[in-house]
Amino acid sequence: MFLRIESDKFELGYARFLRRIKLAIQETFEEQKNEGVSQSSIAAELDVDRSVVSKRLSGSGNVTLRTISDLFIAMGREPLENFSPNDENVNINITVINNNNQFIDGFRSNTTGSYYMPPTQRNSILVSTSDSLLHSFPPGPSIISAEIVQSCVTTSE
Amino acid sequence: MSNYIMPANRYLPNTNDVPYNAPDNDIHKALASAGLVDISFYFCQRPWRRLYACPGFDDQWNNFLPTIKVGTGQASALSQATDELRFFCDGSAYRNPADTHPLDPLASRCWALKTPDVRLYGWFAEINVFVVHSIGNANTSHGKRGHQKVTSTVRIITAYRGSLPEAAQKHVTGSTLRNVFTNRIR
Repeated sequence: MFLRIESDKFELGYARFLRRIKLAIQETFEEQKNEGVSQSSIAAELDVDRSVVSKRLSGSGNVTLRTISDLFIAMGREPLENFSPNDENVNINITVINNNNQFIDGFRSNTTGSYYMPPTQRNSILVSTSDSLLHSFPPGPSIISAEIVQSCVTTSE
Repeated sequence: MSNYIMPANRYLPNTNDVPYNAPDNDIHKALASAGLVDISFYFCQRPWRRLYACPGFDDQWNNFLPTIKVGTGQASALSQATDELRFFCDGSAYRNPADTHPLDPLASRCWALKTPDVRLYGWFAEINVFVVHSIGNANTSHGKRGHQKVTSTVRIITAYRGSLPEAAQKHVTGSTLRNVFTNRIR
């Protein structure tokens, strides 16, 4: 099986850029829901159909700087307040003791390895390097024991 | 050339290197013996989640995917799909509550990974293991005609899955994100 993979750094970079903008939009929307913002209120503010707002929130449709800016302002926020420019890849090496052969956040059985850590995960793991893994990962249904016995962080790419 | 062709096993590591997130051995064997290919390593050298492709998927990927017309300001369909599967595999996509839009559980325990202009249809063989069967154009999946198209795709996928050897037919039956991802926040 052979797949033709996009490898142009500008094309891939642009796709990644749009993904991060979409995430910033969705995070802002989730936060602003508590302030009473809804798809209907945004639609009324922008004077467009609710389906247009739904599309824009999911990153679909035509994307321009103007539509992005309008969306943030209609949600009552400055454009890209949630946008993090330091989204570098971080790998963490850990060893998991899991005697029960249950999944613990993706780990099965006794394992050692390095994996990519999304930015949203980092704090929860880093604060627990000398602590039980149960404190940093959601506990599974019947985990007997789980702990990080070695942990270090490296940056890649 | 803006893209290149890479064999599926190019980055296959020694199994001793990456034991932590390998799929359950039984389902891996069942899928592999049914002719499905682990393509996770195309997109991520240390995959947190795994991707298997059905026979013929490469043909759709190489020939149909680049022809999908994208919206103004969107990245190319090939970039969207490559990016989507990369973040799917490395585990960072679909983790946050705000990430709920891209993945839709379809009927018959089929799922779709979604980018603005591309749909990747398949099913979860087990938690964190997605079997990708076919590619769709997101822009033609709306409305009555679009719904019929998606329904027909789901029927084809279900029939294909049903034709596999019994061990390879195993799939996740739940329809929430927690049922298919272990690192979901909530």
